[in-house]
Amino acid sequence: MKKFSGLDCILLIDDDIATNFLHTLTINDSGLDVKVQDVESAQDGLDYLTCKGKFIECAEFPRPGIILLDINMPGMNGWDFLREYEKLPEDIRARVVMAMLTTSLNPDDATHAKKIGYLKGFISKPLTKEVLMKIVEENFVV
Amino acid sequence: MDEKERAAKNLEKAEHKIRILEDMIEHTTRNLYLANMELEHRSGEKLFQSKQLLEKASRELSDYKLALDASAIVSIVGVDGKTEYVNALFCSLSGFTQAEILGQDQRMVNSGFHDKDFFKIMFENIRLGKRWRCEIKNKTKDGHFYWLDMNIIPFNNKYGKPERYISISFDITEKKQRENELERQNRELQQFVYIASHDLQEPVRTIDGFARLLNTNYGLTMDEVGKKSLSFIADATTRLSMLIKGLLDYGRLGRNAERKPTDLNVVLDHVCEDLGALINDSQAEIIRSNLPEMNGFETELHLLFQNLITNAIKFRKKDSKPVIQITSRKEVGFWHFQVKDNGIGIDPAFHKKIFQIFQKLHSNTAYEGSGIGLAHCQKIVELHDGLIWVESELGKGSTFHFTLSI
Repeated sequence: MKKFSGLDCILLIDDDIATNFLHTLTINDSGLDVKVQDVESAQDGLDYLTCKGKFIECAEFPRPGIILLDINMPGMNGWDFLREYEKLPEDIRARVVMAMLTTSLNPDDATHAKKIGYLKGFISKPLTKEVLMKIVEENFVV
Repeated sequence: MDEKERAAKNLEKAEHKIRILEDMIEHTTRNLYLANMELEHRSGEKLFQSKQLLEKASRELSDYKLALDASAIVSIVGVDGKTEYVNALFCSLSGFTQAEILGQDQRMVNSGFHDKDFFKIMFENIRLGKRWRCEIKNKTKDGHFYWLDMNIIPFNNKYGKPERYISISFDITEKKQRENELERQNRELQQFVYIASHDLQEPVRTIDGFARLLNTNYGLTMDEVGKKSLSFIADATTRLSMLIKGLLDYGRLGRNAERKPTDLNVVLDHVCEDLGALINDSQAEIIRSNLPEMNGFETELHLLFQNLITNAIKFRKKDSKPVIQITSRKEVGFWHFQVKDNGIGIDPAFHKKIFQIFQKLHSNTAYEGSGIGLAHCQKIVELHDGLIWVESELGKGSTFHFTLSI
């Protein structure tokens, strides 16, 4: 098990539970010493970050070092999430590596993603061990 | 003295009379002169006024002609079919010079695109003195085609018989090309959706088949992750199959169907029968008012009501029975329908998004569905030249409004 400093948790935001299941398996198989938290909606993702809603008593949960965000979600989608995320206090957003996970074939999405400076990745699903480790090694140290 | 004096007196008298007469003449002459002056002045003014009016009218006319010539293609044809006048735009578009076309039959711009009846009906109408408007495909001198939106206005002689026809037209070649391109693309798109969804079903069936095989033959020996993975594969293939079917249906809506008189009360009866189990299980109450009979696509209208009622039941509040109210109202040129429910409602932020294909507001765990139902509804309403929209607030029920042209 490899422990990276500042990487205690990876937050998966995806409405598809099968995808969350698969990505959790991939992360667990990668040998990273990290907690995986999955949520099924953008709102739950925001609630996890701010310890609100169903995560009101989860303040002691580790803060995510990486957020893997799906674009196409019912209701509030990935882009909507980012707009809300940008409004959060700086201390919540500090040291968070944000990457988008997508099956989108829409070239507009990739163009849009390039415009968002803090996005560290625009990754096609499913997440592989190699892509995951590349993001981790580029942004964290052992 | 007598003779002389009398004569002198008479002379004096006569001279006096003459002076009086002279005065009178002078006076009359002056009056005449004045009267004449006055007369001249007045008639001059009248003449001046008429001249001004005439000038104004002629200026207006020439302005009109200038504006018309700058924007429209104008030609004048006599009852004998000979061209009497064409403007510059006619020449520049058709490629013929005035000299080439004046006195000629307008058949020289005939493209051969329209059949005999097209011209027969046109001539029948204009000979009766009726205005005629049509879209016509013509041919230039060098063989290119162009489209006109043409108005023919017959003008009668004093006996009430048509004397000449003035035609005022606009070049709509680009518009026609875009229309044709759009039609072609639509056909292609429909074809594409149809073929794509057909071909997509095949691999989906294969995946589904093998997932079942794995489950039957190896299910018992698998660990939890294996079993869960298989069940995810099964769920995903079912959903994919449903999405493809939805896409296929979407492409098919309104195809090969004709509008015919449809009694919406009967349509709604059938929908309620089809949804019998769902209505019973959810104890839904459906309050109906009398609906109209209208010219429509019956199968599509059935689907429209079925989707809206299914949604109203599906998105009900957990603690209360669904109550669905269906009403209609006649407006000018269309029927306005409302399907009102007491369900969970929709945040106004999503009122537009819900009609887009594959857009959902809830996860599959919360509400099963493909996100295609309201896209279908929108397409069906548009087939009937109508609009669909929703009026709703979160937690306060929803009212779906739609209009269908009469």
